[in-house]
Amino acid sequence: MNNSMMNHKLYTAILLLLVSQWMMAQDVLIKNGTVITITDGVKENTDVLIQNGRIKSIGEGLSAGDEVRVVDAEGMYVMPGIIDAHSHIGIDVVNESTAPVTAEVRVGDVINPYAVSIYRALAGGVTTSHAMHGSANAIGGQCETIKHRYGEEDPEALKMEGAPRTIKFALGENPMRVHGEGQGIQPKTRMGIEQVFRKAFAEAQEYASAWKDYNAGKKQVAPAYDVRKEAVADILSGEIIIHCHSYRADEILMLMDVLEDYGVNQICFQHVNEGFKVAPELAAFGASASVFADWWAYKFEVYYSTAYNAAILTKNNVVTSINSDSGELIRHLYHEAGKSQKYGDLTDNEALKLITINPAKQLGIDDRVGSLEVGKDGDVAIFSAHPLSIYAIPQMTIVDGTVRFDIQADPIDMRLDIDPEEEMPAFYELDAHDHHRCMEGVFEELFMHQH
Amino acid sequence: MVKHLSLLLLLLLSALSQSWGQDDVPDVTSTFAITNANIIVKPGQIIEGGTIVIKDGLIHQVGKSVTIPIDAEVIAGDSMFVYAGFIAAASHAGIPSKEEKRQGRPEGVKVSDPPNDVAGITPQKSIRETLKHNDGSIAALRKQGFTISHTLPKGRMMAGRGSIILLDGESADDMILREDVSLAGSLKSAPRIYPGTTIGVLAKWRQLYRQADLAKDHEKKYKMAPSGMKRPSFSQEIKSLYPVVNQEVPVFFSGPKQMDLHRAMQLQKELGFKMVAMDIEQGWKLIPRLKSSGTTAILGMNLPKGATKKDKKKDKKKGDDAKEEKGEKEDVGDEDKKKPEEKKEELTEEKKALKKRIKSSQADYVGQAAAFEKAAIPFGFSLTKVKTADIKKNLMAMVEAGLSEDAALAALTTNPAKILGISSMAGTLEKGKMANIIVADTSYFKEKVNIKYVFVDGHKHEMEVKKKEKKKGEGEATGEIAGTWSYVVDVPGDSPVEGKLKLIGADDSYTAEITTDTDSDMIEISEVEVDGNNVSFAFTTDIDGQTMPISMSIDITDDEFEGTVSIAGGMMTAPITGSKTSTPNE
Amino acid sequence: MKIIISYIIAAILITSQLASAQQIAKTETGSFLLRGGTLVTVSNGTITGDLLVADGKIKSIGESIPLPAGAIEIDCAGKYVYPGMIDGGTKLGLQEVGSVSLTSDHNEIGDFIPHMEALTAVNPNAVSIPVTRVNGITSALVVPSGGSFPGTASLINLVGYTPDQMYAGFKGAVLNFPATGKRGWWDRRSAEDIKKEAEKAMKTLDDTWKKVKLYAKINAAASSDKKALAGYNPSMDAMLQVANGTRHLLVEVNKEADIKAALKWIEKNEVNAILTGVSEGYRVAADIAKADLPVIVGPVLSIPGRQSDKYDAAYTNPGLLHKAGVKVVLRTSSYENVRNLPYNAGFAAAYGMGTEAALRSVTLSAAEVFGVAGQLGSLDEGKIANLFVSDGDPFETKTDIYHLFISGRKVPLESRHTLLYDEFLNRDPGLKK
Repeated sequence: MNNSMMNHKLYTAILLLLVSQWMMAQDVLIKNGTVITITDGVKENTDVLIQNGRIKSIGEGLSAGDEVRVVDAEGMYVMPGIIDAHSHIGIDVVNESTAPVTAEVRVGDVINPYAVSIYRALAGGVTTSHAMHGSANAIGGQCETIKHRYGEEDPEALKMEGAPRTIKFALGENPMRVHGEGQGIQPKTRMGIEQVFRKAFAEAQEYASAWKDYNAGKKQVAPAYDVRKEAVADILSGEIIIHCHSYRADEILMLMDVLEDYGVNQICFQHVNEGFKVAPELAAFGASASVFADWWAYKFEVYYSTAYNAAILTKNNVVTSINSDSGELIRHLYHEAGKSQKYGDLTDNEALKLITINPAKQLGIDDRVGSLEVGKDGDVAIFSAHPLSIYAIPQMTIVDGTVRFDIQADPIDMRLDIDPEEEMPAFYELDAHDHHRCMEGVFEELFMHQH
Repeated sequence: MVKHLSLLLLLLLSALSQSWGQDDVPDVTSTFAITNANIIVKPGQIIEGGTIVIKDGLIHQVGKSVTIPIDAEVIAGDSMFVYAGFIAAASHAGIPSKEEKRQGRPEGVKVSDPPNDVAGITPQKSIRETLKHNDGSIAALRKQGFTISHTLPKGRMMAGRGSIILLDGESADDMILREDVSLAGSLKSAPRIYPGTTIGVLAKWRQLYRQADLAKDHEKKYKMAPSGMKRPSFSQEIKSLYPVVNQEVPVFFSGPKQMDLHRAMQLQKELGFKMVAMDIEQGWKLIPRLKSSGTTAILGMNLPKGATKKDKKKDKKKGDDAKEEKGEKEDVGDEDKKKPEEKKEELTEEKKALKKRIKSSQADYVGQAAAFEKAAIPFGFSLTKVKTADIKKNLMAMVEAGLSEDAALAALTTNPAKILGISSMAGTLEKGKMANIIVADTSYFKEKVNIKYVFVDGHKHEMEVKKKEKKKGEGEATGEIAGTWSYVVDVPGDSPVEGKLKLIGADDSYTAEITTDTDSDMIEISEVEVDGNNVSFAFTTDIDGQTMPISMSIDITDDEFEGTVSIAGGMMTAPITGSKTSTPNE
Repeated sequence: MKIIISYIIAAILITSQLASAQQIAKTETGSFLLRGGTLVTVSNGTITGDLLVADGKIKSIGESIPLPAGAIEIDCAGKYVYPGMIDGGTKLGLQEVGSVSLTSDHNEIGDFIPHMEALTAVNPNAVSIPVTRVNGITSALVVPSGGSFPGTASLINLVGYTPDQMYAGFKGAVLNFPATGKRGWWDRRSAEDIKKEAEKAMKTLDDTWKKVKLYAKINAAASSDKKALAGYNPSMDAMLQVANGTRHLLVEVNKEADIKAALKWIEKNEVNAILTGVSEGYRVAADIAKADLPVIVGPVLSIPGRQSDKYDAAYTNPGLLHKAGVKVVLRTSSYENVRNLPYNAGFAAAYGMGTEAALRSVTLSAAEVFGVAGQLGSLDEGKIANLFVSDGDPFETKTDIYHLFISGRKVPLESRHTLLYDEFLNRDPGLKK
């Protein structure tokens, strides 16, 4: 190896060293912070000890052995790692938009651990996100709850082990545009969307009972295997939680009616911009809601929106979260949660629940994450100021006891996979915020369908 | 009638080209002796000053003291190097490029549930149907020293079955050594129909595989006791997967990038088929997993643009890109003659670091083969993506990056022979094997080596100067613009759009007609600008109720073109490639 | 007494508003004395005192100002008074619903169309306007988009029944400078292609500019004899003031190399320019400072332009430019969420700019850059009364706004969002029929 080659390897070596440090799950003791537990109040001057990836203890004056990394959090705020119940980062495909029902596809098949957006989310204190299929289809694909273990190179290592299966549903304009307007097939209206669900559910029920008969020895020949109906049947049996892209009040009520007919009760409505209009119905059904802090007007079905949505839902006892649906927004969910104080005067804890324990509940992982409690995963975000303040800067983000973001050791270029054919990393004129808008309009049909 | 006429024309043409290619003088012997040569029997085993005798298509004798048969044509091999003919572990040799192009979505196809063949699911397809003994790719590869190819059909997720062929012969029958030895698999999705993305493709793999598994059982049960049982009735696609489900036929799964390879390996783990991972370009990080799972590996012979020395020189000549990216020159060094008025810009630390990372990444790609050698994973090479002319250059770059010459040779001979199960007949210059032989004027690993002769199955091919070869291979006039072209637009983030482009006219006056396979509307374009081999034009179309201006600019080389499609004044651009399907008079 | 009356008026307003759901109440005219607030003047530090709004202006600032006859007194004790914020780049009023293209009025067909006036298409009743102003944003630049010269931008105040009533005294022609960056992740042009296109665009720009100058020359020479001019030429006419330097050219440019090229071009052609976008401004901050050009940066809440950039590149950009001595104005580039301007400023403040400089960037600096500092941007006597009363730092999401004045009119703190909140917080009937 010649000299210049050595040089080339050097930078990579340094980065890899950093990465390997991450990979060593080290025990961490966070000292003297203001600890926002979410479920047990705010504790001043308190320590949090993480051992073997789990929270071992929370209390004053904790000590630990020499091998434990001590983080001085004096004057800082320590909160549970933020959870995003709706994002599309870390996956290579968002939409299989070719059919109104694609329950069989799984974005978990295409996790990309090299997505820099994961690191950027970590730099905003986010430790877990719900990588979702897009909203082109009434029944879209299965989603994946991922932990932001940036630095791991095996896609499987990002999947949150044991997290319940989830699936994307979508109502309204997107499936109507893609299939009705785009292909001239149902659904072209919200009436059609209802029937897509009813048909898929009925067929899956028949399918499941045919297999039941076969497995019980009542039939000689197995029913025709159908990977799609398998997945829909798993929804009906309660194995998969529904996360439904929705906007209008009427369509939300429609889906709850359909689900009631099939005895399905695990549902989180996503975006749900008009959820505030039917908050009592949502609460009565036990449905939860995952909303934008303030996005509206980007299409007609969100024209009659209000940024007070989260507050109205919360005050009507609907388990509510604030999500990003964006590689940009995910970096400041703490700020997005803060907007619920602007729009509806939620208390600090109510606001922070929107990005911690509530999304955890919606993903069925609240026994593991979403609050600082002994025994829970060592997922922690440390801020320079109260996380609901605009002046708060994330200092350190810990996932399963491993420090994945540390503002004190934060190289500029955090890519782990370098395109060998790109002479310099390209500059993109439009930021993510803008290109969402782009996708919404003219190019919706040509490209992905997200929010 | 028209169809028949054109068929006739085609036959006539091919007959003509054959008569041009044939020698009028008959062969007098099929016995050859190459004397006093450096014979590399197999990697690491060399006989200096040895003689090799070829008879009846086989290696008759090899060694230092060999009797030369009286009917032998003697080739004085003084100082020449003799190697076993190369074996492509995977390639598309013999499959004409126009054959594999999809006819596109037929009228009335159901987007959500298209017919299997349209969706890229043709596991029943054998290459026999498409293999052309006189396809230019065969002679071109032979010229590079290849004598055997494991040829896979082109296509999408399940393109069909691969066969091992000799790169010489008068017909497909003549060439096929072993038929239907593999299934070509990939994660390639269909154009805007199901499965339109990688996640759709993976789901469809699961569907078909499990369906085939159940179907196979059903057929078995029915065979034993049909009474009272529903008659099994399965599609040819499903039936042709039985050998795969039974693990009798391996899937040669294309996994170029690390994530592709990972996904293929996950699928294999889940379904349990026999897998050979091929086209690997970025597999070094998965070496431990490939090793522990015992997955056979076939590396892609293509390398990233700009990664080999020659590429870099070429780039430099072209002149650099945007000023900001000027830094490249600094590293290129002495030959670089800067214009005096152009001040070299100081690179910031950040940019220096970025350049280093890109170089380091390129080094990783070029060094992949060496990394596999180091990990003691035997591998072959796949030629599915490399340009034939780059094969040697890329191999040398890999050698320079640490791949030993022996391992390189093994990857072209003994390893693919083993992977393909033909070690007993090919891969070395041992007595009794097929006479697949390369005779070069010096060591193959010298930059200026010339391959003099290639024997395939005992047939001697004397390598001529380039010009003659080209005439033979291409036949038709190069760079002809007029004709019908099939094109593929690689729509970012979506499935590709395919269609036909008809360029009508001659000299400097052209018009065009363009259609897509997704709808029947034809757009006529009255103004087509032609500048050398560059063709450009603009038109408008309706997308989702919006009128979209679209412009295209393509560069034509022989029967292929590549270029850019720009939509809405550059709001979006996408690469377009195409190939000629017919000339105007066809 | 006055207070009681105003309460009664307010009560009437509330009932009338319930009756006519989602109709926003009228603005009020008159004189208002803001009593005893902390006045964050931006121009002259922070003082505690009174501020009198009358005749649409800040009539006086001082201690114990007597309540003029007919004026309404507003108790501001414990509250803060800020000058209204100015967004340096929006599509406010030019877009109603994102995906409905026929509600979009910012992107006309044509590459050289500086005569397209954003002000013409501003819808004074756009639903987004009240949504924006209730967060303390009182003025915004409305900017056309599209080709190289997509039109002329205008500064507007966020109250008025006609565009003219809203017009706030600044216009600037927009130039989208030839860009060598990729337009988005879907852009697969090679570096070579991009370079070629940009070179071509650069040549077109130079040719265009030559024509603009020539036209201006002929126009000046022919000022006495208009017949010498060749017919109706609205696009060239729209460039006359830009050509003679009396109107700004808003040069949209983002990538480092492009900014450098733009600086050269501006210098060579002696253009009176304002740089906009400037995502990679921090890489060439010293050059921009040297050229003494102001910049309109944003949105601050953006992802970095390159995969290899530090995660906070867009957050720190305004602060780094400011530190290099560049006059910085912020923008949201939005139409429906211009209301997030204070939060964009807050992020800039937190990531290096500091609160004071960030506040100035969305108030007085913006007014200065737009040449309207005599009327807007700070709490000074004689300026137009664009201001709001809050219970704290407007960059904080916890802060509420209590009173809002634009062009001296008291603006109700209502928008579609607040009205829907009022109607649906405690829905009646709830679950029952």
